[in-house]
Amino acid sequence: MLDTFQALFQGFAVSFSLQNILACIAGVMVGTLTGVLPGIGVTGAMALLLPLSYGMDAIPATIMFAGIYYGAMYGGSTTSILVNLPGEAASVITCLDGNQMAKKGRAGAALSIAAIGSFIAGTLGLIGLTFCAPVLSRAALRFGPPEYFAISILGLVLLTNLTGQNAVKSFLMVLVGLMLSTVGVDSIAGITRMTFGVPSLMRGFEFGVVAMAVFGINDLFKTLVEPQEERVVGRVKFKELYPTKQEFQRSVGPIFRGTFLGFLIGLMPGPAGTLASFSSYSVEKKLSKHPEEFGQGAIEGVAGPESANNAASSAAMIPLLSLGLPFAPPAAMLLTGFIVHGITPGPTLINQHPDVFWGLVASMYIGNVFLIIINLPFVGVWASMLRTPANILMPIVMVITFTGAFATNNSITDMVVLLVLGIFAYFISKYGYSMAPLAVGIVLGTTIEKGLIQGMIICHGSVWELLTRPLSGAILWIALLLLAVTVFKPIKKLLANSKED
Amino acid sequence: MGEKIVNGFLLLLSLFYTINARQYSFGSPTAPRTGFLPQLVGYCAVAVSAYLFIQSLGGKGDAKYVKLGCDGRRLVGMIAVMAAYILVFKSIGYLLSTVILLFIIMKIGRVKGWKVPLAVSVITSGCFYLIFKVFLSVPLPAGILF
Repeated sequence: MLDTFQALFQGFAVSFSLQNILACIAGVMVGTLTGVLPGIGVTGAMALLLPLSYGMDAIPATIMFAGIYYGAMYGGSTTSILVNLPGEAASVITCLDGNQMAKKGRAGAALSIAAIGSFIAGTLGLIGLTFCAPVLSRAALRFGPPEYFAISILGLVLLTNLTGQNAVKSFLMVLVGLMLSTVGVDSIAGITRMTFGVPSLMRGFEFGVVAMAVFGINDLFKTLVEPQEERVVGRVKFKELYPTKQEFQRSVGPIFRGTFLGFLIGLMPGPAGTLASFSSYSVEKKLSKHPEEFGQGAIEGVAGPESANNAASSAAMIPLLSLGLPFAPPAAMLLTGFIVHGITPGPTLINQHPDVFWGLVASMYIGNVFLIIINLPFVGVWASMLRTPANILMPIVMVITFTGAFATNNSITDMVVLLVLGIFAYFISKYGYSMAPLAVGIVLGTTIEKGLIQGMIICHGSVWELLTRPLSGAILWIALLLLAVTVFKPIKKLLANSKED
Repeated sequence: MGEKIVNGFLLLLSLFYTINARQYSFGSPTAPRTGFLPQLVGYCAVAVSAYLFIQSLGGKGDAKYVKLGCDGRRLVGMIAVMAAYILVFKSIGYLLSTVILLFIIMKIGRVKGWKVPLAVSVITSGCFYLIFKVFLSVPLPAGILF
């Protein structure tokens, strides 16, 4: 415990350097902007900024990336409340009551409760991260390839069940992600495979380029070629930001319940922020003495979900930092940011790079304070960003995307990959295929392959032995059961339908 | 119809991948080789995509009523401009090709007038050229301008 505090103080010493403070401010501002502007997702924004971080040192670069991630959770509420248009998926539910409050002239109160809740939840989530991540890291030092394989498989199966509307389609996207991860030089035998004679493909698909394609270019097409709702942006004055005593009292419980729920959900793979905010909303509605007010402007419907999605974003860092396993696209993007700067997150991160680990954690505490400062008094400035016409903004984003793709390896092939995968993502996402499982599949592909092959060798080629090892076996059985439910549920439905016909 | 095409395409993609994966040695469970994971993933993908394709053929897909809902001409125009941008990127250079790309995409996006899109195109391209070429030392192609 004392060691943790000591290390955290050292982390504060690292993150208080001018360079790191500036990186933190840049990260949270871009994150807030990402959250505010519909059409630019958090993963896409992180992918866009990856090439810009090449010239930076490892610590400020990782601090900036993390800032974008948790900053986006703050910004998302602004558009939900003021325009009834969620800036990112985790803030969809905030539209229901937040925008109703705005229509009743309480936009300021909704915005301030969302920001205060986000601050409290973000900070409490960070306390959880501070104490849980080192413990999990120490435990993970005993993990071998079969354990990593099992955790990755369970993560992907959970992701399949929690993402998108159709688990079978999500499962197929995981498989497509794994397929893409096998292109290039085999990480174990060093043999080139699936390159189809294209030399640039020998290094495989760059995750940054894939993320820019499936999130960035995909969003770009959606914004520029599909009909968009006209935005009517409300104005909020600083003096209107104070919630009434009653509004504040009604928000305290939802904020703390949302924090607890969000933190637990954040540990699970998948779109943790979105799941956390939806779960918190339904819990608050059930617990409320006035459930009929939900959807009509209940402050609890803003306080709970906004706290939950921020706590979830802190908790989602735990598996990434302590196991090196990202279970959501933004976490996968963070992992890429780490690797680009020569740092491999995982159980050894705390011991080998304590300055990076604790500097990052400390910067997140600082970033949370910055976020409440830049979000509340300057809410009008963020809202005015929404007045930027999408048909001017998005082409500019397109140029950053293409330039960023080229800058990744100074290769035209990456630009071609960007365009082809972007078109692919746009068409298939229209028909219910989610891109998050594909992105996570690509990142976890190498871990899965190494874990499977080394695990099979360790277990003398016996799948049964792999399934009966104490830890990996238990995790794999859970994954298999979940997978069986995923696969057999639609088959059962199909059989029932054919009987009816 | 759209769902059938998408599911059919994914089935073809899975088949293509699996056929290629079979070129690499699978090894054995005790000594897995380069083709071990690709083949396992390929077989699973073929099975799952075939299931989804058959389901959509029978009219039981969950996205059977989904329509693209986009301006087809604009979409094709944007894709064509992006493809052309990649083709001429090296030969005419970053700055000129980016100004042209931005201007055309803004016109496709129905930005009114000529002055605003032209000014935004020139200023934005210049800024990115400075950031990437000068500050980040990315070897952006000079092309015919320099």
